This record gives sequence, C-alpha cells and structure tokens, in this order.
Amino acid sequence: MSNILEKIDTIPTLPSIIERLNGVIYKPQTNAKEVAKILSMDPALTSKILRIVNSAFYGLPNRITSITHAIIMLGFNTVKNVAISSSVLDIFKRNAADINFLKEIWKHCIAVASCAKILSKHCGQVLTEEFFISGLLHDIGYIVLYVYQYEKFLEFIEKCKSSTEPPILVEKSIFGYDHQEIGGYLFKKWNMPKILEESASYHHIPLLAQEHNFTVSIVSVADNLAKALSLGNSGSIFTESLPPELVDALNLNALNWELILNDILREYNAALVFMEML
Amino acid sequence: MGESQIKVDKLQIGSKLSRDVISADNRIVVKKDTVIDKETLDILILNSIEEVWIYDDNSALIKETVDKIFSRTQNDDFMGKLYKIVLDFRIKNNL
Repeated sequence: MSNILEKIDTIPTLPSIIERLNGVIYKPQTNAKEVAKILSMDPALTSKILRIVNSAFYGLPNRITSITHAIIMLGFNTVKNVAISSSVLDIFKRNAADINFLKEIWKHCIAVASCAKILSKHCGQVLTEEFFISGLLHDIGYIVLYVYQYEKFLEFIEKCKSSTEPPILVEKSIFGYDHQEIGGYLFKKWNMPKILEESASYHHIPLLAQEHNFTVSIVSVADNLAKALSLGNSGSIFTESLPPELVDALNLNALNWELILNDILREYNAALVFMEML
Repeated sequence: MGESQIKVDKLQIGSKLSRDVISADNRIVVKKDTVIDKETLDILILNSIEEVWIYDDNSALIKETVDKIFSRTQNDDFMGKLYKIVLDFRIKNNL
C-alpha cells in the first residue's frame, strides 16, 4: 500500500483554478461574473465546459456562448461540477497506458452518474445534480489503480475472471487496499467536497457513510444498476447484494423499474457527451 | 448433456449466436479453455443461455462462473430480483 500512497502523493494537485472555484462557489455574495472570471483563466477548460453545456444533455433552447450565460442558465453547481470532473480526468488521462480501457471505465462512471440522477429523481429528489457528479467520480480510486498500478491492474482483471471472491476482495489481495480507500484518500487530500469523498469511500459499503448516507446509498444502487445494464466496464459485471435497511430506506421495492430503466437509457445516451472529456 | 448438442469453438463477441448451437433447454457446449469474460457473458445473457458446458467433463470452472451470474437472477434478495428485471429489459431492448 505504501507504494500506492507514494504514487498518489506524486499525483498533481487539482488545478488552482478548481481550488479557487471551491473557495468562492459557496459564498452567498458570489456572482456569476466572479466565477466566470476565474474559469476564463483556463481557455481549454472554458471551451470544454461550453461544449458540454451546449450538448443535448442539458437541452437548452439557445446556444450558450459564455460562462456567465452558462451559470445563469444552469446554475453555479452544474458549471462547477463540469469543471471539476473535467479537471480530475485531465490529471489521469495523460498517464494512462491504455486510453481505451480508461474510456470503458469512464463510460461506466457516466452510466453510474446517469443511474444515480434518475434514481434520485424517482426517489423524490428535485435537485439531482449532486447525485450525477457523485456517481461520475465515485470510481476515482479505480482510475488511480488503473493508471498508476497498470501491471497489477491487469493481474486483477485476469484474477477476477476466474475468482469466486467478490472483486473488492481480489483488489485487497493484489493491491493491499481497495479502490474505495484510494479514492477517499485522494479526495480528502484534494480537499474535495465531503459528498464526493464519501461516495468514493463507501459506495460498496453505503451504510458506513456518515454525512451523506442518502447520496452514497443512491450511488451504490446506481453502481449495481450500471453493471447489470453492462454499460461501460468497471472490471467486474457482478452485482452485489444490497443491505435490506438500504432497500427499505429508499423504498426500492415500490419503484416502477421499467420506467426507471427507460429514463436511465435516455439519460445515459445524452450523458455520453461527457466522453469528450477524455 | 445431450450428444446432439453442437460444439462452439469460439464465442463470437458482439454477435448473436445462431439457434442451432443452442440446445432446446438453452445450453451451449464450449471448448475446455473458453474464458467466460464480460463479453462472453453478454453473449450468454443476450441469447438467454442458461447453462454452459465444456465438452470434456472437466466443467468445474466454467460452470461455476456462469452459475455465479445466473444465481443472481434467482436470488430472493432485492438485487437478485432487480437483476432479473434488468436482464429482461436488456433482452427486450436488444442491449
């Protein structure tokens, strides 16, 4: 593990632009112009944000040509989340040995994000943006293992094919730690919002989440749904049993799953625009 | 395992299996060293295959791996039920 931690400690910090963004976004006096000013310091990021907010995923009636306009139309959180996920992915894609498999992992993340957003809506939530971003970045630890422990990662994938153990235990036996611990460690180190840190740390053990139990539970179900739907690749297609307390708390037995699956498929197809981040 | 079953040497990734390699009771027969990986499982799911047998009696590994998947569809817990709903949805929508 110390080997992995050393590598994580050499992972670049988040761009200062994201730190500055996190610093102002929650202040009540912050206005769109101020956020736009920060983002405009990175033209590549700005153009990526504009491409994504103008996609069918957000379904805006008119073309958005500035960050200020994007914030007015979509809100601070949406623009911030697009900026964060794009910046996080940027750090890893440069070092990936095989970009194609990274694309498959990212596709899985987009699927989990879509499932989390739709599921949260069907569970009565109105503001679904945080569920989307929590799903999108839940497997960050997995991406770290893939990029920085490539040889061992291939060994892990091979072993998963024949092992009768759950993949999370196979991970522990090969790497010493699992991707949840790695993801949680990294997000804590980057001082990312607690909701993202907990989603990365507990999506396989949702009942252990402390502050964002509901969001992590949704991400956990979403992760299983994405695997069952075979959207993207997270190394394993095996779904896991959900704790009965979670099933009851989310009232999952009462949901209209046929409707949910149709909504997920529509959402996922539109969300594939996030593949452009790679 | 009936003698009449046709042996499948290679599972064609991304394609539908022709009905003549699938037995009436939804089994297929594959080579000893066929790996049941994610893509292969997709093929099995999309073709409603219920069992895979390798053709030299040494079937432990392959049968066990496939059993793990299909046991999910028969579990009494919530995820088992949901997995079956999702499989039906995938077959219906050709996913």
